[in-house]
Amino acid sequence: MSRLVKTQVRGIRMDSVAGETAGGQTHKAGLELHSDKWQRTSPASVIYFAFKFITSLVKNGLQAVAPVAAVLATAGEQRWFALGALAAGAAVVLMVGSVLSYLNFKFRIDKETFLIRSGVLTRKRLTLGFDRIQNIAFREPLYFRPFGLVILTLESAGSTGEEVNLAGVPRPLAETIRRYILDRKENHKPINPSEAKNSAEATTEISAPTVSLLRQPLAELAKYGISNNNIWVFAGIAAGALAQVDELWESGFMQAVFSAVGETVGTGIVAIATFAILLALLVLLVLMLASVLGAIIVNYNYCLSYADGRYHRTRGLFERQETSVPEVKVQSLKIAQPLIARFLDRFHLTFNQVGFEGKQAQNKSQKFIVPSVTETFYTQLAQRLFDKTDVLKQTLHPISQKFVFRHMIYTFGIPSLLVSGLWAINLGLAGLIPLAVPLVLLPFIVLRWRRYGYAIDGCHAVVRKGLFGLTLTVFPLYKVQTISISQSPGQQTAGLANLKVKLAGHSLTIPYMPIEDAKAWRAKALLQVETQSDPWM
Amino acid sequence: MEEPSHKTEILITDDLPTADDHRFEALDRSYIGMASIGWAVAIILMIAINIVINTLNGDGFSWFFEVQVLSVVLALLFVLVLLAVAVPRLLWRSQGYQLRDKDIHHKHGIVWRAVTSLPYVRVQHVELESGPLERFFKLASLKFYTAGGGSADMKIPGLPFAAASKIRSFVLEQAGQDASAGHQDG
Repeated sequence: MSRLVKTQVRGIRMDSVAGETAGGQTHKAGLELHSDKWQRTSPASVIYFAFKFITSLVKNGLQAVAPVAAVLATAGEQRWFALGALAAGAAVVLMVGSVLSYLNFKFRIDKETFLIRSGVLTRKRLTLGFDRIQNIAFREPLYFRPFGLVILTLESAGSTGEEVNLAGVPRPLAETIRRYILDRKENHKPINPSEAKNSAEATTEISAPTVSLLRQPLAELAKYGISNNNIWVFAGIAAGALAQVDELWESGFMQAVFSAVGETVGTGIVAIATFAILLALLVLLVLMLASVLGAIIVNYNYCLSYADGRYHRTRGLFERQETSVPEVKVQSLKIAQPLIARFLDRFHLTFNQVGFEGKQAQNKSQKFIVPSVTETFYTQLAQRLFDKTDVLKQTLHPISQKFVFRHMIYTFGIPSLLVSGLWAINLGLAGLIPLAVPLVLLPFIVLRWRRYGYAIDGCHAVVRKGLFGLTLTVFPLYKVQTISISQSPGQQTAGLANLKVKLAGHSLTIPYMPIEDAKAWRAKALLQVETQSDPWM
Repeated sequence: MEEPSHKTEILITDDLPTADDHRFEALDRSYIGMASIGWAVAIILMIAINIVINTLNGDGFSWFFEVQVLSVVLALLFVLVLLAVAVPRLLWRSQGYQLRDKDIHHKHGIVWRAVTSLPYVRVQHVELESGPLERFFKLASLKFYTAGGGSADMKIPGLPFAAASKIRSFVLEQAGQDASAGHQDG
């Protein structure tokens, strides 16, 4: 079977190669789409390698700085000379390294594979078959803009580390490469050569109109910066960094601050509390500013468009990124509304693609996010993505209140009873404090219970969950991988069940739904999967 | 004329793809024996480790053999043995699988009962596994993988070797057919 396909493909390629040599695919920079020789990228890619070197150095951080500190500490009077020599040496190493990287980076595009040789000290050879290329993205860093060059990123299926960056490719050539690879990927299927020829002609002739879907002004990006949950990530980093600076705490600086505070606002509890709250607000404000800045840098001039069955996204201030995701690869649409976004009436969308659970975090930069949109926008987008579905307009079913009882009694009640029992033996009445834990948590459990919701129509389903914010996930039922229903003894008597739906990339759970609903979901999902022959990835 | 239409109706309701929970096939009975051995080995190992610790500590557990403590320990041991007898049986009884035209279902869980359903179209690959203990009992486990995640999405243990390989080739055949059909459409 596979051998058959291969020979056909080869036949097609002979055709297309003949066409291309006649048409002439040579570009300004002297680079060609096809050649038997290994080619280098543009000399400007030296800058790319230098930057890459520096960023990896920064990422590896302190270890790299340690020798410098050692030199400074031991050099004594000749400290500045030593530092200068070190800097000069580093610069030379950087330049030589970058030039060598550039010289050693060669690529060749074969009929069905992308071949790359790279590496200075350790040589690497990579062969990437077109069929394994998942996605082709462009990035346009600031320093490449004057030359009209881009970085072509080929994302391959499977492990995330295996992506290829082709830096310093002229934009027209990059576009030709992209079209070439995508055409070859899509033309894998035709059975006879004449058909293949037709479809090849069709793809070159028809350039379907691009539909612009969204253009985000700065104000929206600022809203995204304020309301996305990255603030808490920043807060974590900031807290970690502050904790590292022992000197700050030891130098008496903080004591000075505290005494100054005492003098100016007085030592009353109210005064100090107000000060603390103001300080916290100030910190939050700074974090928000940082988040807004980050959001603007990454998403500057955000454009979302649709063409040829793919969603295209361009964004970025210093480095323009062009990413696209094929419509069929979208497994589900995640609509998230963190707490702050509720006040701004905005939602952040994510196109969930195929990926292994747990490896999601690694792909974070590749996540296809649409920031700061309104309800009307996401409803329309969902309809565009999933066959005009109206499932988002349905009122969601709540889950059973028993969810609250269960967590009050089993998850928190019994453990706190046990703990307080043990503590009470030793501590007396004070040991009963853990009994308050479930009561304190009650509002949160109730909140979590209220956030859960689900709805289904014939072909699509939506699941809502959350605590402070909320997350809606919409998916077509035929993209379900497995579905399971489980029941605890209590649920069996109450006629309730937990439903777990596994999609390619992530899974969704609806706890404490009526067993009839769970069974109906399973029946509908299985029916869709087994009758729908559309490709799911 | 009315009778055939009546019949058709019955056929349709029968055909509707709701997972019918009552027609699960049981695992092979020797699965009970295998699971018991597993439990027995675990218990023996536990006791052995305790004996070793005891001797290394110079009879550190001597207080164990005071009458009151000993009775508790013996009671615990009794419960343990009871579990070793009962749990494998329950494990066997709680599990079952159902092969249908287009999907496979696996029921599992003694206390928390669950049924996992997997359409053949979504099967990426199937693994037939047979460890030393399983081989002794001429049993095998089937692991089904989808694109859903790294670990197996469904694992059916305690199948007779021949049945397991039969199911495996059947499922792969179904998956292959559907996949090729899907390709031509797409």
